Amino acid sequence: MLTALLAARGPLDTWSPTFIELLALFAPLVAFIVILTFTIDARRVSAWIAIVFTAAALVAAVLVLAIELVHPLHLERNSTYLTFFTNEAGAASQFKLEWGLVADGLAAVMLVVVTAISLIVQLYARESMRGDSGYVRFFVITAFLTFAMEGVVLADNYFALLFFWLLVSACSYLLIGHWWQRPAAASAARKAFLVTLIGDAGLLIGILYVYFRFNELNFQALAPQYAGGKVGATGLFIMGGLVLLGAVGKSAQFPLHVWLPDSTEGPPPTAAFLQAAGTAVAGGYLVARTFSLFQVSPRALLAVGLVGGGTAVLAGLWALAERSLPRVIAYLTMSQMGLVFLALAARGVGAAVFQLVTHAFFTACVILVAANLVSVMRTDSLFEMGGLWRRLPLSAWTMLIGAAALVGIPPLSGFWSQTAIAARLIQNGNAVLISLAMVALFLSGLAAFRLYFLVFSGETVRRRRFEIDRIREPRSQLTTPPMVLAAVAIVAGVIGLPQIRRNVVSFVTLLVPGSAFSITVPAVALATLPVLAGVVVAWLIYGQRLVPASMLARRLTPVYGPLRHAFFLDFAYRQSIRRGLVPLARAANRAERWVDHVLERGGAMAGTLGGLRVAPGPRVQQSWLGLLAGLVAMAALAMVAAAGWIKVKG
Amino acid sequence: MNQLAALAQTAPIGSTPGGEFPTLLLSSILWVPTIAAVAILFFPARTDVERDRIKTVAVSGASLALALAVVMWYGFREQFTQFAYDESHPWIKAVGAAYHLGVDGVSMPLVLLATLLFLVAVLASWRVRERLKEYMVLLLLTQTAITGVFAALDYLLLVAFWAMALIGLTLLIAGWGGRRRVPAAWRFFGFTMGAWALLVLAVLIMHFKATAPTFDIGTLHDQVFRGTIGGLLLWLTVAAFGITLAAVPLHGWLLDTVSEAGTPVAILVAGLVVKLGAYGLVRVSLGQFPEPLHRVNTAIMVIGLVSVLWGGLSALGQDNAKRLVAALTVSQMGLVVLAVSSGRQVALDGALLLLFAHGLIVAVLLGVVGLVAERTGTASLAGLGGLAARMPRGAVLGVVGALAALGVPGFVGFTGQLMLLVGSYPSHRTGTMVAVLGLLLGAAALLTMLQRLFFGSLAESHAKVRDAGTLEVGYASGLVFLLVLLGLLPALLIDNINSGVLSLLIRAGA
Repeated sequence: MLTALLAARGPLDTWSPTFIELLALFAPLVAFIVILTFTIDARRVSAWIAIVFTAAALVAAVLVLAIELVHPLHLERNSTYLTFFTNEAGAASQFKLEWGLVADGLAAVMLVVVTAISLIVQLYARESMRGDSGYVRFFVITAFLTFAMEGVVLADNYFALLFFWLLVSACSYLLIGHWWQRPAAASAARKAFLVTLIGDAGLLIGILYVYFRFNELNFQALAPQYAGGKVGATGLFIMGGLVLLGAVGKSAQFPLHVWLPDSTEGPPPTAAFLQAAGTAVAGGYLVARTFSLFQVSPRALLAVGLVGGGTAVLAGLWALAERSLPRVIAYLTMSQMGLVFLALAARGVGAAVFQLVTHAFFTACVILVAANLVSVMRTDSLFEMGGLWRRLPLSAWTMLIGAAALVGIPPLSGFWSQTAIAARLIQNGNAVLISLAMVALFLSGLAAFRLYFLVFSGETVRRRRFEIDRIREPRSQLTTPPMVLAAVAIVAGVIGLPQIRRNVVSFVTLLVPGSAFSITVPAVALATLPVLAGVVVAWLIYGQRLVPASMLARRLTPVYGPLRHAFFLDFAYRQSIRRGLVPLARAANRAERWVDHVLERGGAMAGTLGGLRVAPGPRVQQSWLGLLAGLVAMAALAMVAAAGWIKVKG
Repeated sequence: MNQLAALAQTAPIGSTPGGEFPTLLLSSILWVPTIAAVAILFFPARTDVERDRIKTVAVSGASLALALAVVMWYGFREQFTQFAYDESHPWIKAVGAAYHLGVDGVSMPLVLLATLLFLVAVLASWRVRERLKEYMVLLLLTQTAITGVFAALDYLLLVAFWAMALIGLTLLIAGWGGRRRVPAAWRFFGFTMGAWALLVLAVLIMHFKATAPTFDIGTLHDQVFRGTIGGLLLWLTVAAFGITLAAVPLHGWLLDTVSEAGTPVAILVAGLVVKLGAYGLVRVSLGQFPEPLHRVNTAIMVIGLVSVLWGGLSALGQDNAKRLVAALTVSQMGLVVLAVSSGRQVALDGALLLLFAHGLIVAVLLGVVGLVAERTGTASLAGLGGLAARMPRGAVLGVVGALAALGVPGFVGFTGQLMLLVGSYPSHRTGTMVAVLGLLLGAAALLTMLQRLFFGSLAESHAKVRDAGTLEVGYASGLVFLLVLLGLLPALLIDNINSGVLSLLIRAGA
């Protein structure tokens, strides 16, 4: 029966990539529903359900990727969310919102990244979250975030994208606020939600604008229309700017970057997921997906580059003065996303996605090792660690691979993706973008290896009530996931090699001709020399301690202070809310009371003037009776009169 | 599936309900609660067992009304230029008034919402002990009145039901609630009755200016009011409905009432009374005076935007959680005014869907906030915190309700807001952007409320607070289920709403 059905439709119809994507999309949702319905009280079973279904999603994602590699097709599967005919402006037209899945290179690659990172993070969390009272809650929401992220990367139109996009915001809120008992975590969650919502509001207005102008939301259908002359250059720039605002909020780019460092208040697996393949990645993906819009607006593209480059430089600077280990990594993530935006600005969609892929693995690796270190050392301060090279060799090696891949030391994965970006920048970028990239790469090398040397070299700082001789590697369930990620981080560069027929760069950008890249000497130089310089400087200052860090800090106080507080931006935002918005809201409340008071007095006076004097009472409100009686009587009288009049007339 | 649908359409049953044969469905929905109220009058209320019996009767009455309303929804098919379940009997022949009921896509969801929220209100009143009999009787009579407003097709009948609803609610606010409930009841009565008087005035002018003396809404819709008289009538109705839907600056009564009334009554006021205003704005201001409205649509839009922004800002500054939810209601109703001012089909569809969604959301939020206030003795955010430790179920409901309120997709509130904004954008581009800003303020207020109520460390004095009971969790989960169901399958309502809006706009000669 089943085979007959399948045969009738042909294998590619039934097992089309979009159908498998559907399975991948719904697997985590099924886990979410199953856990909520049946196993909410069973901790271990719930965790396994989430993991198994995510693994199933990963398998499906790999299948999609394999099919796409063999048959690079662009397929869409749409189903109606809402449709009806409208009579707008006299002409019958259709209002239609659709769910849509797209199967193409970009979606397939990102789908694998999202599901793979989600799976590894959950495997890690199964052990690391073990004593947590919100264990099941963590897995439930992580499964849902996996579903939402998959929805974002699979969406084929702006409506479906916005739908899942906002779900990602909500999930990030719930995950960052996982330890809600801690005021810092609760505040960080609210901040993350609100700051990303500002970007989301920009995206929403952008979508309204697009729909208003083109009466279309499908990415594929819109792609040729942007350049069609329906919208002028300024209109396209505004459109691109609004979509970019959404991407900036999610990917924590300047000036909506303030939520990401605070998001480390959430559980470490959450930070790994959000930064490696979750919220932070969604922004870069959005610009890549809507690239046909940016392509036709050089100004919008330049804005992307300036935002990305500026953020990468700023984040590198801020990371240099940060003392908390997870926060340094959060800044490094911002810097990575800045590089992705730079690549996009240089019209390198493939290079940008390549960077997103490599970033996912080495960043997750670094975050998970850092989480192990924090739990072993019971502190997150870089200056209370040190000398762990001898005590924790396994972690040291894993972290070394992760950090080296992150900064792009050859031949690790980051090197290949950064070379691809550098090639694009040399080809298409202007001097500003190239110099921003150079500074950003130098700073990222410096910051990452500052972290590395502060943690692993030198002597372990002695603290009270902490016996450093009892430092041990964590259990193997906690060290294996980052080691797997490190292994991937070593080899992941292969997928971008120009020698491969369908390397990730050309694969993703099949539709954007002329985006292939070749490894040239200038590109390699641009990608590696600043990084190596940064690493060497870090080694001299923090590894060899040629300059004592304390003296450095003292000498550089005027620079160091502003850096440590990230140029007081967060502070300024908070103050403008505390000193501006909140007093304004309070003033609004006072004005409300005042208006009420005036209205009451007015009502009382009207009642008196109307000759309906009530006995003066202690409460002003009582005089309302007067006004009311007057109005009601008036109405009633009028009615009676009307009835009588008509009777007489009739 | 398609074959089934085709079968259903060819089948004689329900093809055009109320078209050919007389139906009593709407009357039944209206008067079943009254019958239950009359029955309760004969019940004693001295012991707990007797009081339980009264509650059972009340729940049965409200459930039966809801069941009939679901039958009404199920049997409803797309209607053009005519009303479904039409019932008409002469009433006061001398003035041409009739007992005329009927629903179209605009009013049908609101009738459904009203019966649903009244069932929720009756369930939420489970712990009322004082004067239970009087309470239940008033509640059920008010249900008849409010459902009646949505179903009435005769202006005289409509204003009669309207006045009955306001009097019933005033008594409910004054009799059962917080410490300052009596002044709050007076304010409620003052503002809404003042608004009602303006409406009566407008109705009387229409009655006398019409070619034939009638109160029939359908007949009067065909009458065109232009020039000064049209403008006057428009502003009279806009003022009346604006006050009723708590448009800034005449919204203070809503904040007071919601914070002082008992939880069930607060749900009714924030969930249904403001909807009376919104419904009137669509049915009367837009349906009756489209041309005068079109001339001043910028002014109306400004009224809406001021409400959206001010509501959000005011919510952000509130210390009292109940007043915060009420201020958010002001903001949401401002969105509806924006949609009406645009006069566009998609915007109005979204607005009506949002009205439905907001009713459910406000019931969840006020249910949770009311529960917190009841269990801790305060609704002031300053004195609360960390309650998720003691009230995990309440906290989950609160978080879900807040997410639904701030427009997270998957809940129907998102769909309504999105359609409203998409529809309004071509008419008011800047206005729509400003409205999005107001939504952001509202979101900030909601998240702050969650944080201050549930997160952080628990105060010593609240160490023994009890969690939400099965009853609260039960009805709130039911509402959340509906929010998600409609959020995923909005066609369940939108198809009907759309046909109603379309015929309203066509009749209005748009």
